[in-house]
Amino acid sequence: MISGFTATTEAMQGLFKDILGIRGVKGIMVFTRDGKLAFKYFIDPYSFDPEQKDWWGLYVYTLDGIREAELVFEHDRLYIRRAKEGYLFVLASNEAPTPMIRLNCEILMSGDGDGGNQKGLSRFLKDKKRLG
Amino acid sequence: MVSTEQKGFDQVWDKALLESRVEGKVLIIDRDPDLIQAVREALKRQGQGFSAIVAKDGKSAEKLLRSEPVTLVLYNLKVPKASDIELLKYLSRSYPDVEVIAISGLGGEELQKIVGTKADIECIEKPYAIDGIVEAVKRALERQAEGGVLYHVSTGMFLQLIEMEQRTCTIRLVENSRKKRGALFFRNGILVDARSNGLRGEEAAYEIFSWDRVCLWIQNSCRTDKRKIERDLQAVILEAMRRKDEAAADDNKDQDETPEAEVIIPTEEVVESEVVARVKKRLEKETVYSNDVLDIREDTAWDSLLAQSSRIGAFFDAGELKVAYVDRGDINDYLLVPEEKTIVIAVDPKCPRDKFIKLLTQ
Repeated sequence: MISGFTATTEAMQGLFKDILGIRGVKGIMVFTRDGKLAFKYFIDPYSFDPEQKDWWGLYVYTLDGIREAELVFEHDRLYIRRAKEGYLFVLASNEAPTPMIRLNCEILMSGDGDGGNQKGLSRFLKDKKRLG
Repeated sequence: MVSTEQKGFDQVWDKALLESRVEGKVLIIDRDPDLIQAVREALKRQGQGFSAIVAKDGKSAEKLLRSEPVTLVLYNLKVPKASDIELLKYLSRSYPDVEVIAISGLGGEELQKIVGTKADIECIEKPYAIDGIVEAVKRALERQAEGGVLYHVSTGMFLQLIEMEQRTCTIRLVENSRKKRGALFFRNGILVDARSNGLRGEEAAYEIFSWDRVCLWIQNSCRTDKRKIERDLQAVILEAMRRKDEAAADDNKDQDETPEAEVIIPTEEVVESEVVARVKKRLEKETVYSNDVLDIREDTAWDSLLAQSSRIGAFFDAGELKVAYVDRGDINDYLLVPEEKTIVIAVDPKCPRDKFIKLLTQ
């Protein structure tokens, strides 16, 4: 995780409270536009650590231009949503109500507009930029 | 979508032989008729694609290595002479993907010391048993596919994953038309060397990356650590594509300039692939194939995104990627189905997304 960003972790968790509360949601990751992992939170502790993989940057680069993506795997799905300053990844089981996940992400992003009064994700990613 | 299969030796090779008609030749450098016969019989039992060729000495061995698709060398050194050691060094240097089993009066360690530790030669000490040699041959061939076998894959897509995974491995490839074969050497995800049809290093890599579809098998080790390719993988792939396009353009130019060339008028009919027809049928059957589906086609431009997505799925232990839904904010959204070539279904953004996903994941 990006150093200097720990101060806002609690606030980030608060921001994603609704999404993390949806049945079947397993975790959340936030990447900056340049592919750096800015935040991660998994409900159950996993043996893997996303930070140990350096291919996220290439992946975020490949996503460039994609507003929203939903990857459906055999057991789980990954919902990806573009934010103004990065990408939000929501990992959920296939039993999770995806319309609810989409809706909550939409609500979160609605506070992430171009206006000066940003309430959403960008506020934190901008904080991170200042901290970084 | 391709899948890696790690099965027993017989299954892996039987399937590889069946699907890509891989040929492997074991070069025996020896004059002992009993040994030659025993190895030939053992290979015959392994599968129709394997055979043994015989060289009576080092010179004819070098000649055969240049002209035949040799995968393994079985070298009966007896009491090694300077020329034998030179040949072993030559093999290690020029054919790092060709494994060597040496039968020698010297101990394995001693032989390694003389040849150099990087040579990584499997050594069978004398006196030997024919069964032991046959087992060693079998083991060596098995080792070459220990990391899995992939059929009919696009090289660029797959090899980017190797780079991302930072793997150290040797990948042997056969182009689907079976005319060309080669090997790529990766150390910690970096493409360090390549060999193909008499070419080496970057030139060999350009040749390999120009192949459309290949069958490949992976060995989880790499016998060469000398970096003969300085450019990174992306740059090599792009250069290979550029050369391929240039060659195709030259071919077209040649055809245009040939006055006697027969003019072939292309037909308007676009042949739909079997996979596309199958997906279309599935959607039609469930009556969702209506105004919502705007187009269904095969498109390799999405291969990289799907390959990387599959890697992420594997990382999270989420299982195989079944389908992806993509919204780029333009007039269409896209459903991507991983197949040999990605199936792209352009849909109306207001389509019943979940219904489509459910149908395509069933």
